[in-house]
Amino acid sequence: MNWFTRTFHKMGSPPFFYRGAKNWVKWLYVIGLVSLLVGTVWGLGFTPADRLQGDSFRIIYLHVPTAHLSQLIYIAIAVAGFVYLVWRMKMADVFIVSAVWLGAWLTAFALFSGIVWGIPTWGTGWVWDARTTSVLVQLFLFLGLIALRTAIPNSQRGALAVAILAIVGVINIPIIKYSVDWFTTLHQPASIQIGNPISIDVSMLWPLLVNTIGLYSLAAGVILYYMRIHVLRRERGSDWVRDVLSN
Amino acid sequence: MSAFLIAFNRTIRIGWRHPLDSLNPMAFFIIVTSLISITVEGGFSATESALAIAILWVVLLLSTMMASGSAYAQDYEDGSLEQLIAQNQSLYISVQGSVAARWFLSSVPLLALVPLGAWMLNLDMSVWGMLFLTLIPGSIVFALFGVLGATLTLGVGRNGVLLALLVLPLYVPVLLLGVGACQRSLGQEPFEFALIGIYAIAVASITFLPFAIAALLRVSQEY
Repeated sequence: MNWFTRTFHKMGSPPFFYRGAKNWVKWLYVIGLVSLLVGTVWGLGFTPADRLQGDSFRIIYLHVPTAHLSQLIYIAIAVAGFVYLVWRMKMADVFIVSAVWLGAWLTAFALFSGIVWGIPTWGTGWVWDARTTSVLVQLFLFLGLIALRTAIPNSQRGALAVAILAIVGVINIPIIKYSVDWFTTLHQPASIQIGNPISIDVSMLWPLLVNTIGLYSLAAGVILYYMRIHVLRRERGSDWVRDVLSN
Repeated sequence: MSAFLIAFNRTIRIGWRHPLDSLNPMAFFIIVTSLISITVEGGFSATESALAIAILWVVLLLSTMMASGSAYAQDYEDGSLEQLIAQNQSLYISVQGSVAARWFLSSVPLLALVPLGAWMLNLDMSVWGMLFLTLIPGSIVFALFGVLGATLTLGVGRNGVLLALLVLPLYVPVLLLGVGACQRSLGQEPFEFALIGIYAIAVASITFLPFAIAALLRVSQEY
């Protein structure tokens, strides 16, 4: 067994995960908060204003990382759903339950910051084009996952239902991704694409990257934090939880 | 007899004995369409066909969701679902047969009402062809997702609102493509992309969704 498969199997074991994730949470919080602070101050205070959009472009430092991360969390949930479906790995369900709320909040914030950005630049906060609509749909999908998980009290059956719904809902992601190119829309295509020259100035790019790293670390920390709580709750009554809590 | 035909015949026979399951969504379709026509003063004019297309699609979508929300609920209650799973036959094929039967029972009558709805909303005659060309694959996808939603919520009491929350977001891509194709054909713009897209989604749904539905049916019996 190579390193990867060994870690994969170990992470599936609740006590190993509970102990191993403890330090990760702390460090991810630290890295996340520091990078977010640095990136936000840098972006808001020390980058030049945009030639066309003036200072309003600065919302990019929050809008782009949250929007991107919310999509990534949705895809991660679908992947975890697939893992649960195939291997019935308990930790995959723990991940889904812990990440789904964060995903919903990030999607809501991406929509909100998009509206705030749209008012000065597009002249309207909301357009019913495919891009904004499909992000709204992503929010509904998150809410559906949450509602379904709470409606089925039986843990294993609820987990399977949520896994399947997440996989089916993932068809929405390519539509979000390519809607900008399929339909004419007010939303600009992404400025940073693999294989294309970057269409954003370097002085504006760095704070964006720092903020992205910060938000990703913070989100990973939050998810791990909740996963540890869920693991404890589910494994209550087992010996290792008693050991952990008595120390 | 193949698993497809067994499931198809059985669902048709049960549906035939419960005609209200098909008639209620039809009544819903007519009532909602009339309510919309009544509230628009003077009725719809022919220039508002783009709006009428969107209304017809959404009303058909809601009626289909109503019709398929109860799929497998009776089988789940009385234990026939357990028998179905215990049979040594492909559950995937059986689900396809059952959904096909449901489509004939509830979607075809609704599609038959579409000309009436189109007439009530004063829809331009030139898009009726395109409306049917898109509504037929569209209603198949709606029925499949409706049954998926019903199996997701099997055993959850009072599942109406939950079903809507789960299923409606999944309807959006098909709805956008279908309405887009009709509206573009109305404006004599190219619509091939949307038309191909909606048929592609229909084929993909017929192929893959029964796997998900079958898996959910199986797990509903496990615990």
